[in-house]
Amino acid sequence: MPKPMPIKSHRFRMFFMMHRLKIIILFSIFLLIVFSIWGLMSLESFYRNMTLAQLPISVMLSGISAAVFVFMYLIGFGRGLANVGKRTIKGSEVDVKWSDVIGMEEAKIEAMEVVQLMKDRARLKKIGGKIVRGLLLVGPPGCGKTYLAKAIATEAGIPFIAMAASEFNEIFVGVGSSRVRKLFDKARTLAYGYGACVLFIDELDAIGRSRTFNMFGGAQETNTTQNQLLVEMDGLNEKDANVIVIGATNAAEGVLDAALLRPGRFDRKIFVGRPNLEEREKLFAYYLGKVKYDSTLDVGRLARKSVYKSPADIENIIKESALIATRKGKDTVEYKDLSEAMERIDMGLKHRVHMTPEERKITAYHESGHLVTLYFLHPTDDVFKASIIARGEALGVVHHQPREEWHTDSRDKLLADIKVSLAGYVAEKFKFGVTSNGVAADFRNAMAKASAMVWQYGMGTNGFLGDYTLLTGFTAGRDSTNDLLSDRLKYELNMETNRILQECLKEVEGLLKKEEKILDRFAGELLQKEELEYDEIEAIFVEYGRSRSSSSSKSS
Amino acid sequence: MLGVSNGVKRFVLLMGCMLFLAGCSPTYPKHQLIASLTELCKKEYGVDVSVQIAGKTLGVMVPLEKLLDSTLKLSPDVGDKLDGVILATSRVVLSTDHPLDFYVVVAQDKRIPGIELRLTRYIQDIRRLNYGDLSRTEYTKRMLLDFGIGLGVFSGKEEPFHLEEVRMEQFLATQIARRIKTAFEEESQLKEGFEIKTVHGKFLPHQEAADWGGKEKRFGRFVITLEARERLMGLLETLGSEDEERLLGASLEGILDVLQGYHFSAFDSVEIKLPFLDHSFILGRDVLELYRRKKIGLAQLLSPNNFNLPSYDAELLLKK
Repeated sequence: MPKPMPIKSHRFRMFFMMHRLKIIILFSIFLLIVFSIWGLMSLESFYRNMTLAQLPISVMLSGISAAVFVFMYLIGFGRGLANVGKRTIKGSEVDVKWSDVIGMEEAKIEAMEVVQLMKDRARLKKIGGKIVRGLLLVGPPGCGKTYLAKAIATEAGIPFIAMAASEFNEIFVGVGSSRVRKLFDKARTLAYGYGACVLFIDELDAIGRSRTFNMFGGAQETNTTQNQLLVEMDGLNEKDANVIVIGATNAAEGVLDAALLRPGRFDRKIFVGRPNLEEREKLFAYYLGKVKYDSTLDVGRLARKSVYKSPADIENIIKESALIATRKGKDTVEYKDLSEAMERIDMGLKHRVHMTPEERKITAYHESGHLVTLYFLHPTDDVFKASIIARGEALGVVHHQPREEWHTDSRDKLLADIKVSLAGYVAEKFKFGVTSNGVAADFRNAMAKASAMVWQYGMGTNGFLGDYTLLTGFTAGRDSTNDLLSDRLKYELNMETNRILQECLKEVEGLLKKEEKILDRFAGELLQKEELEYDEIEAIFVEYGRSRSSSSSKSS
Repeated sequence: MLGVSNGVKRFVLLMGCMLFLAGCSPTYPKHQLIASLTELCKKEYGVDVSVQIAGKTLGVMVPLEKLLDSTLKLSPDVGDKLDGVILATSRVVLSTDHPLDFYVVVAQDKRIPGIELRLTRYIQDIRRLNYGDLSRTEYTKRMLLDFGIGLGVFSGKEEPFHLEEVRMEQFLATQIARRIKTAFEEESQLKEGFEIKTVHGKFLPHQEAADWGGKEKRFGRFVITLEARERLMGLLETLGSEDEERLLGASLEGILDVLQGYHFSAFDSVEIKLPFLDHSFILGRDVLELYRRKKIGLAQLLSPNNFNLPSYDAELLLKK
């Protein structure tokens, strides 16, 4: 990738513009030294020696005076502090190629188009087209927005300046806008010298949130900083430099100020989402390439197991697995290490909690209930692991993952989620006749889903459609006494919610009674081994002739 | 830093070396000293001077058309020229590598041979003044200024003149005498009691001083002679012990100021002669040091039998 080269005729002027202060200071120092030597040479040796003898102490005193002045200035005029230590990243520090950008093929294509526009700016202006001023990279964290921005800068062969939006913010009013001005001045100077410049503002929402206006002026600094950004991007500015602003944010579109998103500012929006199966495979292959791994390792299986994982998550999994393998004294990373790394990241670290045999048995049946129900009734997820080793606050866990990405939840999926959540309770009640408070999190989950189905998604069977949460006092911005929903309507909606829960409960009860042998077997296995892996779980279902893969092949 | 940091470092290093080297060479090297000073006086002050070096003393002879006016006082236009020559001499002696201790500037009136104005300075005093290590008042006290006929530093009238080296001991002896005289003239208490006509100071090297005190001396003795006015002789003979104490005290003060001021210890004793009282006090160096450190007082000095001196410094002699 070619390094950005300044335009020849502009080179010296740009260098002067960028380093004006440094050049003036250096030149002044040079002159002072030359004149000092000249002055000293013209003195007679006695006076010269006397002056030279005093020089160290003069320098020391000057240094002390300067230090005292700086200290007093920083203490006395707090704004001095605000100007200290804010640095930007220079283009020369960026070296990210297109080939390094993996797991966001669509975003890459859009970004490439923007790069092409940057390069063809002159041609575009000739035709009369409007140049791209801003590019907004939106997406969940860890999906490579910053990485993509760097690749854009490298690919376009132009300087890259980066700064986090949070660095603009200061307790002093006006500092943020001053920093924005300085940053844009610098970008314009670079654009003058190199033809264009990419200005990357990370975490844009820190200054890009919708401006608030209140009589107390609490958000004044953020507003001022944002106003300056708006002006610099497309306002009354005398210079028309080829500065392309790339903003990155995790915030949803509604969070950012509308003025910032209008054409002429961030004209283009690129969604950098989580990678799909194919992209995850590429990501695993890429990051595994950086460590020594078992050659028999199935990258496809890893990709399937890591649905909804971001590139940063995948990188983290590989790093964690390398640590695990090293700790175990292995030379290469194996599938087991990767699996353990995923669990550790997803479920947290194991910690031994002393349980009585009875509590342990209840936990084993609780988790087995989840497992069996999930296996038989869930349409999208696979069980990867079941465990009765405590992690975090949970005494046990059933780790499941969707087989593929779903961007919406169907009614069946939501019902299955509810059934799986209730299965722990059902198993406890079925086997022991009593239940524990270990079902609290499950019930919260089940209730939230059932409620949302009825109140928000129109998935009830009593004919109510629409999002009723909008009419409640709290959501509608009124107090709860001023609710738009009648008590009767609320009652009916709640009854429908309860009906869904009851139906799910019955179905799970039926299932667990029917599959009691399998339930007992899993509880026994868990009590014995504490943890069961995907293969072991699958083997037990096969043993009982209830494997989902065999039944699906039979049915097909 | 733009890749210039190495360049800047080299530049600063070079400048530092130049600064260091700039301080190395003397402006008036030893072999050009006389020529440099002669040229400097001519070029900058328009005065023709003759320069000689004797040992560690530099002598400058300034022949002037009109040193004295008709009232036998210094001509007003002489001042500037002499100041110029003195300044030039100071500059040269400070910035040379020739080992010099003193300089003497003598202005002679061409019309009245033998009339001289002579200034003697210890070069280290000029340095200390520049370093701020000496007050202007003390500096002035340390300078010897004489006006008279045939003062003797330059012997012979022939050209080029012959310069006699100034010895430190003699310079100090003269300065002690001047200071004592000034003290008697300026301090009201002393002025009321005594009228001192002249004070002479000289240093007798150890060969000459060997017979005094009965011991062989290594260095020599300062001899300070206080002469009173003749008309007061009668009064002076009636002096009591208190007056004697004051006289001795004032003299010792002048002696100690000078010797301590120059950290001079190359002497064995100090003799204070009071011819008008026919008294002579000889104080050994150690006794003088005890007095300076206030271990003994004037009364003890005047009555040697009354104090117990350590055996090593039993050189206190009181002669009448």
